[in-house]
Amino acid sequence: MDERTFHNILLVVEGADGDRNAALAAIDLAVLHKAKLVVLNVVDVALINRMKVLTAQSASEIEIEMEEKGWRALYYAEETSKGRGVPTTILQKSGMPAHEILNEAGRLGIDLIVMGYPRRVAGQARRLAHGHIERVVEESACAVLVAK
Amino acid sequence: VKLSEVISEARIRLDFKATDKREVLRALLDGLGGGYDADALLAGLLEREELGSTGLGRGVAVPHVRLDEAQDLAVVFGRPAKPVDFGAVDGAPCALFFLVIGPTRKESQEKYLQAMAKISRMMRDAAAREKLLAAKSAAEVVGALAAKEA
Repeated sequence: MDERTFHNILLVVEGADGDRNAALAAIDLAVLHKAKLVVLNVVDVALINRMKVLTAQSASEIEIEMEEKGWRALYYAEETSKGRGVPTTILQKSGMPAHEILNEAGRLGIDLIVMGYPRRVAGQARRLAHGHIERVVEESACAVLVAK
Repeated sequence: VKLSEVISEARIRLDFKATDKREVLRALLDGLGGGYDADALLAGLLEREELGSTGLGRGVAVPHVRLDEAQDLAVVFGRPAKPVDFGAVDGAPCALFFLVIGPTRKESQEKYLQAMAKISRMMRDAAAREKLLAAKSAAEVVGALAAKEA
């Protein structure tokens, strides 16, 4: 009988300061439980619209920056996890982060979601990020670990 | 990182014959040129693929590895004669390949990550993929990448 608690772990990365501790926790747990890891980045469309108002950049310029930042975070996590022998898949989606995270968790049969807790971002970006975490914790059908 | 500068015409392989992952990677490594241990690289790339395919979906794959002997970032673009099953996340066969080799030095990591991020982001654009699929020569591939980066 397979007594592992976690088989499929979803690590959410944002290209923010919370990623590091989340990745360390997710990878450690994946090693411990011999679990597969899916690393997900969601390009936050609401944040793009808010940043467009606050900066001189166009929505497409902001989107390109956010997508590339997300991919860097995904590849960084993938390098670290594969370096420790963890089967890893990376994914990028666009939309509302909490919705996309919950959707992917259901679609992929995830039994643990690991998210970072952003400390250094401020203002609206911080409120948005914390809002996504809160919604995932409340609505997730599986365990959620928020790494600080 | 400007992909149109990193991917020289000599590092573009078009319409090569390949039917599986190993043959694709071997063909891409042929485009890398001298100075590398191709057998060791192939083994390293296959080992990484075992831990998860680098097929991103939409017919694109970005196999990648960092090496002690790599002096700088190297990228090879390849397009096989027929799309190949690469175990991509969406299950679709892959037609466009970007092999990325980077040094293990810590100071080179950002450039390596940037290159893969840029490729991945650019290849979400259907028009960019179409141009690479339709390119008839290495010069057209470089032109398509430069136009996308302009």
